[in-house]
Amino acid sequence: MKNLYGYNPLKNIIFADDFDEGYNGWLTLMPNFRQDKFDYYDSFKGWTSWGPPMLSSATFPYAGTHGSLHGTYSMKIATRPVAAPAENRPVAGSQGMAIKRLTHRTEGLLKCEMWYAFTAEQTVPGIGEDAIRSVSFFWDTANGDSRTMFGARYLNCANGKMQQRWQLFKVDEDNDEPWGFSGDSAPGDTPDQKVTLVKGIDYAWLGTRKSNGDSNGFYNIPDSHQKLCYNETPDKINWLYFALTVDLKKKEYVSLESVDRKWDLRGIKATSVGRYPRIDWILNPVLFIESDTGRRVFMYVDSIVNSCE
Amino acid sequence: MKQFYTVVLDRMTTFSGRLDSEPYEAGWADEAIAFVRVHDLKEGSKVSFNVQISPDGINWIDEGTPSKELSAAGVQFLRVREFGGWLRLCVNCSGECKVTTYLSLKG
Repeated sequence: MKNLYGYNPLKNIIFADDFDEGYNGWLTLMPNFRQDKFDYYDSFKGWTSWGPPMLSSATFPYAGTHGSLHGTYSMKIATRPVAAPAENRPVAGSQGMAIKRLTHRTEGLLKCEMWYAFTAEQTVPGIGEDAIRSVSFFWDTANGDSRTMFGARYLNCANGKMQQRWQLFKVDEDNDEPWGFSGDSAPGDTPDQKVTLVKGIDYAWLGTRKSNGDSNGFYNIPDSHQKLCYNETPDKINWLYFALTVDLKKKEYVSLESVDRKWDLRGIKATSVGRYPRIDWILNPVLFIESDTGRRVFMYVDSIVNSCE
Repeated sequence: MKQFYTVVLDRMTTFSGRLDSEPYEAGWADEAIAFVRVHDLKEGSKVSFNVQISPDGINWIDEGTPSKELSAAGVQFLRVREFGGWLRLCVNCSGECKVTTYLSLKG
């Protein structure tokens, strides 16, 4: 990325991806493979069709090419035209997912900034604002002895009712409803080690969900109602600024910024769980969008910057 | 250097009849190869596939390259160029089959 105008990164830039320059290492998120044959664990088989990222010119049926904030291409993440009710876990294809994989070297502050937009496919009349359940950014992080997922989710609409509020990835410790995973998830450090997804891992598709879009893994940020710009037809997209800052050392949230709003999140701990085999010091940023109806919905990311200090 | 990207459209998917891939934007690419890998196919069944293009990702028309066919497990491909902004893959199976489908894009 040649210029960082529009960005306010921390001292050390980890990556600065402008999708006019290619995919920059983003690909779809898919489940782990079994080791004994070319197949997936049974518990993962609904998770093999999350929509993959693509380089999009944001071209629409009646408007033509919208382009991106910094050029022609953004990274588009699309769902399939399918959704489950908000009180159910996401069904196959109802989310689009893009991930990039690296490792991190320090445990200080970590910041993600991006310029993004979202809209619904222009296949039926109506602006489609209520076709989008949520858009989200999160990191899957680990050090040598623990794993922590930090994330922010804009809950846009649940079962047709607009919500327009922000949530963090954080387990409700007072809630004993199931997380919803059973079986194996990955090869262990040794062949006989069983690895499973515990509460606090994979918020995007686990947890007990409610009809208003809440779950026992989504923490509602107080006073976070925000009407993000969703223009008057689905072929008008306005780029939105997002920034999430976390403290890897303290394993807590620091701040969330969205367009004109900023929330101080200091003191809100993320949920940290024990070490997972093989993924020491990972730093995996992930983007996803989720549909609320049987209409495709799209997240566009013009560019994304991660920085630390 | 040129950009290159292979996207898996449908992953180890079992179906009978017709399987249209999800729309995929590829306006940046000059050329594409659509691959169909057949994992399993009932004896006597056939798999055929072709590519469609679109001005908007919603309305589709055959690209025109003749379709390719498989009558046993294996891989087959077809090449397309000058396809505009969108591609999708249409796979037909006379019986039941399990496929993984790809677009390999370069430009």
